Amino acid sequence: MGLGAYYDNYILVLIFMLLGVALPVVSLTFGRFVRPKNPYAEKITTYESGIQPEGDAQVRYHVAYYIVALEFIIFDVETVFLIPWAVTLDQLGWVGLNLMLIFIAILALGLAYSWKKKVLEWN
Amino acid sequence: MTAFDANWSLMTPEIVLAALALLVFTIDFMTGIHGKKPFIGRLSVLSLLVTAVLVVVTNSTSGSIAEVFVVDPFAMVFKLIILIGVAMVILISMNFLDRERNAEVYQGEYYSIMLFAALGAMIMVSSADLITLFIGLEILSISSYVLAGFKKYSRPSTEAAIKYVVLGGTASAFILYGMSFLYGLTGSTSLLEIGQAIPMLFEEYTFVVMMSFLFMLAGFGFKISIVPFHMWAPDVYEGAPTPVTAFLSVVSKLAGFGIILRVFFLGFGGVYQEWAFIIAVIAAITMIAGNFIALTQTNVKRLMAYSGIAQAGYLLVPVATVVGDVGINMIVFYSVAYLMMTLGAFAVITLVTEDTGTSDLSSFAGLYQRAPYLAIAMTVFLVSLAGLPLTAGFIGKAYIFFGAVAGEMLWLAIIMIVTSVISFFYYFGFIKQMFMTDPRPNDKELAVPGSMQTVVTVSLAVTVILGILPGLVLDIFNTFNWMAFF
Amino acid sequence: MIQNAWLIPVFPLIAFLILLFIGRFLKEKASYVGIAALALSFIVSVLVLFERIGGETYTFVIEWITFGESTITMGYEVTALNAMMLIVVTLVSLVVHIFSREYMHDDNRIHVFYSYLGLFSFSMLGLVLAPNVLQLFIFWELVGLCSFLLVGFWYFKPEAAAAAKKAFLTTRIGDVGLLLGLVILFNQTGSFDYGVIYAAVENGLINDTLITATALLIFLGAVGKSAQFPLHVWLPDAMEGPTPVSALIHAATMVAAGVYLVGVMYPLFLASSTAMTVVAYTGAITAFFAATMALVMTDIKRVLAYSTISQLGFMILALGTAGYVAGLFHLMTHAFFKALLFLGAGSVIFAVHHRQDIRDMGGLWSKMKITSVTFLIGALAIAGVFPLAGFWSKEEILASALLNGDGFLFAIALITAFMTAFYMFRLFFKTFTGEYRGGDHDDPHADDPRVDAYGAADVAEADNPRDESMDKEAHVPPAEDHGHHHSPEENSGFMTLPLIVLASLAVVAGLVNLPFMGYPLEGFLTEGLNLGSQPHGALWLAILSLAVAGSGIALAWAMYYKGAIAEDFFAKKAPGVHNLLLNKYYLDEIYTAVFVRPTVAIGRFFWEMDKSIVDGMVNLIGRSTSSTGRSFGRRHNGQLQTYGLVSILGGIVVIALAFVLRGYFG
Repeated sequence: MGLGAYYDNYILVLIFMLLGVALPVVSLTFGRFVRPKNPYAEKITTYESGIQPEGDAQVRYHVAYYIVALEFIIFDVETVFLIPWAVTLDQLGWVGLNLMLIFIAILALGLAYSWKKKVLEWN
Repeated sequence: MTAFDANWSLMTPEIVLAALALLVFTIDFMTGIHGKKPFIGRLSVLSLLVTAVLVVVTNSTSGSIAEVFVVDPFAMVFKLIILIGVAMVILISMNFLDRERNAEVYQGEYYSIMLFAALGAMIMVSSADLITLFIGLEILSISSYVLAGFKKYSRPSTEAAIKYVVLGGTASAFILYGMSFLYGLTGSTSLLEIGQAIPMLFEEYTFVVMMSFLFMLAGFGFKISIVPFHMWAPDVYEGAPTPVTAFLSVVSKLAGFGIILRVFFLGFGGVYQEWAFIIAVIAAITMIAGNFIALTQTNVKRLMAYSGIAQAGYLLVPVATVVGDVGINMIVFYSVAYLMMTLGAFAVITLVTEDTGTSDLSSFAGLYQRAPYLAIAMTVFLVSLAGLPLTAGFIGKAYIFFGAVAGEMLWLAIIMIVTSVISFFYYFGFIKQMFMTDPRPNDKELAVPGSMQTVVTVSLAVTVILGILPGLVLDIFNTFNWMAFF
Repeated sequence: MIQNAWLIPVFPLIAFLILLFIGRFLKEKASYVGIAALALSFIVSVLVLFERIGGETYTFVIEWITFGESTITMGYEVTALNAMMLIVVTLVSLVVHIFSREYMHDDNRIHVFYSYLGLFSFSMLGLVLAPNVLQLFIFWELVGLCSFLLVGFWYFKPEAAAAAKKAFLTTRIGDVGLLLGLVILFNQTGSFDYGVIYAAVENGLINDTLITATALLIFLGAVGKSAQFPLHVWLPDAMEGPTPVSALIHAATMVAAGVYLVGVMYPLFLASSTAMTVVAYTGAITAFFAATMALVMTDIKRVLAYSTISQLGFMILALGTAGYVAGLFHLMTHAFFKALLFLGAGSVIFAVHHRQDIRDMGGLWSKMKITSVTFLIGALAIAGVFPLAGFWSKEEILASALLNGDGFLFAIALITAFMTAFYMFRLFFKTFTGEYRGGDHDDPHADDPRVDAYGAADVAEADNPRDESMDKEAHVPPAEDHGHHHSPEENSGFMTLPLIVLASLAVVAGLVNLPFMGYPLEGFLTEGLNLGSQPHGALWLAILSLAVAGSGIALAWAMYYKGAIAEDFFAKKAPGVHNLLLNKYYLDEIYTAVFVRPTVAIGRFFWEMDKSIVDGMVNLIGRSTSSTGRSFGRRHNGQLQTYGLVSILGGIVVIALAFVLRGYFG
């Protein structure tokens, strides 16, 4: 079983995985032994301050949140592209400028489309 | 700045198609997003045909952009298959969409997404680099997910889309994981470099190389729905709108085959002997399971799903048995045949199931009396799928069969032919319904719209012509040096 | 003319195309299109035959496909054997076309019928003219398809639809073998051409095991097509088709294609003694078992169907015992007299208003003179009575079984010959002599043991209850158009002329291979082929065969005409055997249980797996998660995750198997 250098790299991964598992397990187990344990009715309610939890913890968000989030990501990515492009623009020349303009135009099309489709309106 | 100096003209068809897709997209929302849009459909078909012409014109000489985006006969033929396939799917869809009354469905989107899917598939079959390949694959996949859920008010359609997204995502993860091994071993994403390094690496890192291969097989196997990665197919096929089912089972599947061939032959070609047997076993299981399960189906779309699974098994046989250009000949020929016979069949299925409002097999009852031309055409398609002589399906199957025998995998050849006999049972179920049953009381004569007529006639003509004169394309294929782009 | 032999299949093809497109306007005039096409084909065939006699084999091929390094050709070839076959096929097809003009007269899909007949004739002639095995296979499938269409012509009879499907699928089993065999040959020789294959066999380019294997595989194709044991079960059911179809396809031509196939591949069979033995015994067993079943059947067409199987068995037996000419000679004579018998039966059925049970017939001799006399000639010919055609060919088969086979084969052949004479004359006496028993009209088939063997295979078809209220007037079988109270009378010239033509051939066809004239057919067929000497019987064999035929006829006469022995004498003596025969050795039931059900069961099994793995996984996950903690256990629809899980598990299993099997861990 000739393990090469390639496999050795995985030992690192293995160590990380073990650490990842061990950390919470060890700390929680350790805490369990150390901490005092004295549960009573008020103490085990969700909020010890006395506020009663109301409704379901899993609320449905309005679907528009997701759409706005998606739009946000698109512009996020655009920014990521724009900054390095801007930094090296003098080397890229006209070709680079045109390419970026096309890129922005395509994004703008998408924005226009979602506008037209009224996805940015909330009701 | 080598990237700017490369021969970008090789990419002309893709760029043109992208521009046209954006144009279609723009015209769509500029003209209001609701309502019927047959002109958008026609424009899309035109765009695809223009692109197809460009493919023939510009891709006839091989070459590559930095060995990342490659143009060779293999890419060219698969692009033509994809473009013609999508054009036919759109022709099938136009009538289907016009019947759609729900205001929630935006027709225009459908066409532009179809075009983007075609673009993704084209990039995919033209790539010789893992990253480009993956981008093409995802463009195709994401478009497919949207299309599967296109009838968003319909529960089955939405369910199909969700299943497809989640499982498709899993498959993509498999592929990426497999790719990461290759990158880890070779430090390159170029299939050429990987292909050169593999034989030596295999000696040292057998385990990792095979892991990588098998992960990619699982991921791509999902895309082309081979057993045991096929389970999504019947559910998604049944739920998705019928033309989209046609798209998934033909274009998406064939593009998947294109990329399997590219990756396995280019990347893993050096260790062919090590994996051929695995493919053979999977092909066998796929043929057996697909055909046997299809026997028990009464829903037309599920039946076609299992039939498509079985067909994928046949297509996999040459991958396992024949190395090199001859093997690709077989696969490409059968792909062309499969494209035509399956799309033709789906055109008829769309028309019939939409008309009767059910996708049960009994919707075909007495089709011969309702629309004789459709019934005869459908019979030819089924007979071709079953592999009877004088159809393209027979030649394709016979060719693959010869290869399997010559490749000394007699057992695989026997499984292939025995399971194809079993397939007669369920294909004849259709024929019996069409010719040997009376129409249901309320079914009147079936009007065939022009676009459907076109698809059926083209498919019928090609299926029969290739069945009688296969030399027309085989002679061309024989001259090809399929993957010589360098 | 021989260069224009390609015209022979083209005429029927043109007829088919004409009828396909404008048939519905022609209605019954469609028959003339078909008749004209076949008449032309027949004339060309005769010219081709005359040119081939004393001439050379003519081959014309063009390149069709290139597969790798080998090129496959398409074209046509006129050899001695297929020149003879051309005559047989075109002639029988022509008379059947003429006969159907009257027989199908009342069916308003008569143009469809004629278009199918045209397509069939085209395919059969294409099969015969094929210069290589692949082309033969293509047409072989096409005739199977035509047979499917024609058997199921009256598809609104459920039996007909079931029979069509059964016929097609059963023969497909044989075709699997055939295709496999010829692809192995192709792989070995690089060609499908007969000549190349013969040469490869002669020069020992293929090893003995492979020769035996391919010969047996190809023989499997013949077994399916020629309805040999154990794949014979489709032929009796195929009698659900119109009677002219039974005469053409299921007696004279298509079913003989299996024999023809063995004939054209003969050098391959000769090279393997194992294959020859298998062929001989298959033929003998088939001949015997089919004859026993023919003894008890009461449906006039089924008796003839079993008789056909039995006679095909004779031909196969002859080929298996090196009697090349004997087998093919019998193929030719049998085509004539069996077509005659079937058309005679058709004439009778037509006259008695589409009833087929011989217990409802009788006394037709005086009412239908021409039919009766020609039927008698046919019966005498098949029984092998001197000097009719069947005598000469059957005697050669007996000689072949005796000289090259063993005592067992010879004995079986003799017993079968006896049974043949007996059941044919049982049929003849029951149908034509005595009193007419068709007066009262109960359901004549109430007690017919009909077995819908492949019914279980229909699972995939939806339960589509046929709406009985629908307008079916449009295509009633002709039976219901006739008044029920006419007494039977002779039919018109369209039906009697074919009978007369075939009857005269049944008398004289034997002359082509007369011993006194030095066996001219043998000289013609074996010229240029290295097949060894052909067996010929001595005089005592001829006398013996005559005596056997005579005693069979005499016994039938005693039982069914004279009444000296009670009709149910044997049935009473051995009721078990009688029942076994009536139920055809329960083969249909056995096949259903052994092959059809398991196939469906496997399908269901996989399908259940596909479904229930999913459910099982859901439950498994549910249980394991609820025990691990509810935080994971919120149950969704479940299906989706399971599909994903199954895909992943599938991947893992594949990977694991691959590693374990191929040892990648090491």
